[in-house]
Amino acid sequence: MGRVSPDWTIRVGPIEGEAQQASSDRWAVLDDAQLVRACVDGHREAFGAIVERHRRQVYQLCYRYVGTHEDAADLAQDTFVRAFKGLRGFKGQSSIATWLYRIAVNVCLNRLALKTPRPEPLLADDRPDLQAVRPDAALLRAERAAEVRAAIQQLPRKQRATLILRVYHELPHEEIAAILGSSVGATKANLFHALANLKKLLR
Amino acid sequence: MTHLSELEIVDQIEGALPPARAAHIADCSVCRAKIEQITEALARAHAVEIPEPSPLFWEHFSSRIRKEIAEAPEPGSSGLPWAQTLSWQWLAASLVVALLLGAGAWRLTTRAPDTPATVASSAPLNAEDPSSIDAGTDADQAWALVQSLADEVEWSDSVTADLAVRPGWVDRAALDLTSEERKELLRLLKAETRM
Repeated sequence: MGRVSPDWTIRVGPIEGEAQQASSDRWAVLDDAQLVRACVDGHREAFGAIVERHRRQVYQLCYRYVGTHEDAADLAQDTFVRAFKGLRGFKGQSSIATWLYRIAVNVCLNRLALKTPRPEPLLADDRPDLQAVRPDAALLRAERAAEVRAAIQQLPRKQRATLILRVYHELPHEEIAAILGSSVGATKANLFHALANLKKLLR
Repeated sequence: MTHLSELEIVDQIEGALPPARAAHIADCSVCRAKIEQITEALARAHAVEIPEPSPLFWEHFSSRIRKEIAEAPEPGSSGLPWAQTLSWQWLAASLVVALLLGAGAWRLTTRAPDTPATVASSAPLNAEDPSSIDAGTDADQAWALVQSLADEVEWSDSVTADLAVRPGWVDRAALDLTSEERKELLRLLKAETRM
């Protein structure tokens, strides 16, 4: 009886997913500055580690700015692509996170200048009827959070950016001033007015 | 004592107000009310969390960026197709060749007094009259070409392209000149420094 050769072959070496994993592990051990250098030197796959490291923060910044998941995902993606294209311009004077925030804020501001944002729906019909059903604590919390997010989106652009960068990303006033191209005094004033307006909107 | 300014109220809620100014708050109900309102708004803002997207979203997100980046030009390049095929070395080499050609053509024209095409040849440069140098070079078409090429090059670009003069380059260039050329260079430099 002759030998029948199998209709499958044994692959020597890592399969595609494993190779990708090995590649990302290789870059994951480097710090941001080393990753930037690697990208500029032509190892564009190193940028994946930068994305991996900062994607959540950038997405959250965009989400807080525009208030919808779809827009935030688009803007965050745009932020990273622009960051990659402009990587040579990153001189390391600030952290890469701050640099990404700066790009993200500009991307968000540009988007808002082009179109009216879709605010998170907060119509009366969308609110749970607290009289009819026993209010669940989580539901109530979610509703209040939606109210605050909607209010934040009604703030003037610079006040909104200042509030987001200071309250949620805890950037120092100096860095916020650098990102927005204003002074520390103006940044503090913007924060004051953002919170004062938020208070009025949430009454 | 004056009321706290907006900036001082922000400093107060962030714990950065100097004690001397913070003492005012105990005596001033107006400032206390303002601080209370701002603090309350801050607390409400703090309490808001962003809905966390699914792990699948992050996978798609990263892979979409990976795809876009794979198709993107190298960081810092102009993105123009023709520019992607040119390296800085080629650009630098082209510019140097253009400069050499221009300089060679200019030297030939200044050395050929019978050539009628240029003012430089018909009117020899006068070291006593520096304007005659400009008149000669301005009328030289080859030199004009070099000038127009050089005018479009930003200083920062020339540094990036490694076109800036480095220590020792001028000395080496001077050593390559013939004695006549050195004399001419000396004459031109003298004329230039008298301007």
